[in-house]
Amino acid sequence: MILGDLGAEVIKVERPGVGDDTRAWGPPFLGSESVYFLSINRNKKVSIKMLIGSCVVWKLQEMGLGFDQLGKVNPQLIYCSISGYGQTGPQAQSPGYDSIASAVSGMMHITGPEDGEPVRPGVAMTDLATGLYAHGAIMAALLQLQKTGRGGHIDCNLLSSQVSCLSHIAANYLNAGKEAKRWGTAHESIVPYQGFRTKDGHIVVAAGNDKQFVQVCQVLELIELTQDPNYKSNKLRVKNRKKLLQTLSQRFLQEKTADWLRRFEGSSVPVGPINSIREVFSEPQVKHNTLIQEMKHPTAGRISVPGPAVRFSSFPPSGPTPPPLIGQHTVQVLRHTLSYDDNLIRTLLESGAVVQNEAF
Amino acid sequence: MFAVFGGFQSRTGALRPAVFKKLLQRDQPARGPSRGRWVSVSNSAGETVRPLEGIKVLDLTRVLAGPFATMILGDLGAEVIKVERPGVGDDTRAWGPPFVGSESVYFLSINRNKKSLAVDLKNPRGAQVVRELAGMCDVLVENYLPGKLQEMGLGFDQLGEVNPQLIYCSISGYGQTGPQAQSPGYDSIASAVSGMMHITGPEDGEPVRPGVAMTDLATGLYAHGAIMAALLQLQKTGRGGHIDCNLLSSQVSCLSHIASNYLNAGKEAKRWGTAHESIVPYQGFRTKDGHIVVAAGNDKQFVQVCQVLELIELTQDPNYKSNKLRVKNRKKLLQTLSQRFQQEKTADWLRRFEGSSVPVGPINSIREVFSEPQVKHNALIQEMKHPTAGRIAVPGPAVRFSSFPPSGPTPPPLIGQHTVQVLRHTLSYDDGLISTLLESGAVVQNEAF
Repeated sequence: MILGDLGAEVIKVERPGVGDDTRAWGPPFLGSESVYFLSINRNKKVSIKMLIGSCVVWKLQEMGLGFDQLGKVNPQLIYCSISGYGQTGPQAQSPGYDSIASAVSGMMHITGPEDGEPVRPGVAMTDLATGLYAHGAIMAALLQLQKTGRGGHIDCNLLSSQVSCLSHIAANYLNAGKEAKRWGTAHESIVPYQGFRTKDGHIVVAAGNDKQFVQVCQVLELIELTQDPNYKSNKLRVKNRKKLLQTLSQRFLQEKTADWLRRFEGSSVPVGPINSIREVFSEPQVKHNTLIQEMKHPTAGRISVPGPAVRFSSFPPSGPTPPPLIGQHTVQVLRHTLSYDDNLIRTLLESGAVVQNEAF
Repeated sequence: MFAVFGGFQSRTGALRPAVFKKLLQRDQPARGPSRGRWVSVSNSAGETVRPLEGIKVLDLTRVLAGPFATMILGDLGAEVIKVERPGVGDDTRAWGPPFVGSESVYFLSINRNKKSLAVDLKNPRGAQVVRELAGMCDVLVENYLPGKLQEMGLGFDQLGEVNPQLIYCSISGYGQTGPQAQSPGYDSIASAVSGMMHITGPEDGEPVRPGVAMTDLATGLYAHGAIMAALLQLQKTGRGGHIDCNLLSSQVSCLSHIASNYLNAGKEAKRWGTAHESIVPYQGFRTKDGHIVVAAGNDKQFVQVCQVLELIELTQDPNYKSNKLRVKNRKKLLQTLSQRFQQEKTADWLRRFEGSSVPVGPINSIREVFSEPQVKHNALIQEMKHPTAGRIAVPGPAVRFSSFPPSGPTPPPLIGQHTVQVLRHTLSYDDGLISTLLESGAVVQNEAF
């Protein structure tokens, strides 16, 4: 989808009938279209020839569509494979699920309440990180193609993406044998740096230094805390965190989130509300960043999806094309991209090798 | 190929002739043999060219999102010049324990393949050094509050005038413009404001944040791709441009279907622990000695789960016949399954599930992650020798390319380790000028080198 946002022509190959599994993932649906599918499939055409493979390893090879096979025909082809664990190795044949990869890669172990059970990130960040790695890798390969005249095979997988993203958490273990634990919203080495319940929700406060701690105490009208020798430095606040956080927690409960945010204005303390999704899309900055992207879908009507995350001064965000119906562009691709003549197209349609969506 | 040559010719033509000459004549720094960036497919040592070989990145970022992005660019072959203020340097150099020798593990984890140039930007001569480097680099990445670099004469408009091919990537908390543009970017806050915390946590519990700063990391990933998109565009148009990456937009975009559910169907999201709203059973379960995650996405897999758990009667229960029914009657079913899972150890369950088609996996601690055979196979433990810390290990690159092998990384630099080297080889300053700058404190060289 991101490649499409950047101007690439994306031909999405789907098996006839079911198509991409997510077409069936709902409710909610808009008309016949699942919102899940709509959210991540703008700017694509749908037809029937694999270019980016996310099948279990070797499946495409069996169909004559593996990297070695296609690379022979087209040495400039950049063949990006996305899998659960990698193209080779003991787990290469295990299908990739974000839930499982999140667990195996350590992400779940480090996410959750301090004295509670592990949880997974509320959206599939392992899947998404892998997609983000892949979009960059594809462009790196395009840059390399221009130097070398050759494409190549790219191996992206959920396990590697998430383990790489463990960054300092992993390095703590690899270099100091330090195991990670769960911290809720809190920070292991900075206090106060976490979420607090308010009268009507939550606020997150990130007081990273002594000056900001003093400001927190001022806003909360708990000036005595600034005099307490137990809380004079971050190191001491970390040491005596339990008592301090209890005091702060009780105070935060007494007012509403919006009131606290107002009182923190003008201070240098970074604060923010824990927004529900509705609240996210009411944020003025979210609107300013045009993160609500609207478009007209041929059958679902008007739809909205989260917009592209990155802005470039060198080109304006252009109007997206809506997520396609299954097989919407089959004939178009055969005719215009492959230059097949009408007879060949008819033969393929009649054999069922390809399917065109009736509505188009 | 003509388009490629054309692009590069207009690129070098924009440089001042004296500098251009020097570029051709200069020695390359220690890493690779001399080579023009547009000439050979592989260098004289016969090593395969990496995608960003010949690209210079001027890195003014600190902490996580920016350094993570520039680290990946370095992995792909770019030369990354990391600009740090003398003394403290990148904030994360002090973030510990743990430390290895004098180096914080946090800093080591995300700063391989970079050179450190210690420059005082508040000193006009220091700012001038950076301005000249911007004239010679392909990419500049920064994460200052919008407007701060402008004050130092290092804003996009100013540097773009001198170097119209410059790709200037800004990373911020909320964006370059707008009502919150002046709010500093913290992963914790952005994670809260963008909805990520609201949807993460136990089903009947409080919101939590992802255990590693995924908002920061996603932003770094968006940025690394955007920079390469801009490099591709440069070759078509001959012009660079300003890229706006920010934590808020990155995380909101990543909300994908969660966001769309609200935008199209008014459906608010809630927390689900490890579970899935619309598939049962698809979650973690406590075992005798840990946790296992089971992802039984269809009826066939559900039957297999019942077989492995030796709870065959569940397959006959009309309340659990289809996924829709299992979702409807989830509480009772999950209670039954939970009790059963607790009776055996994780490893035993994993063994019993082998041969079935049910995706399962352990909830690994970090130690367990790095004992996984597949993790080792994917070369995700990258070891290297650091000049003062000795042998260090960091998580390796996530992506493999058939077109070039992962090369040995250079270790994260000490602060100011490459100051003189960059001034001499990249800027072609003579020794007199270098001495003057060092004496004035505008730049600092690490004593150990």
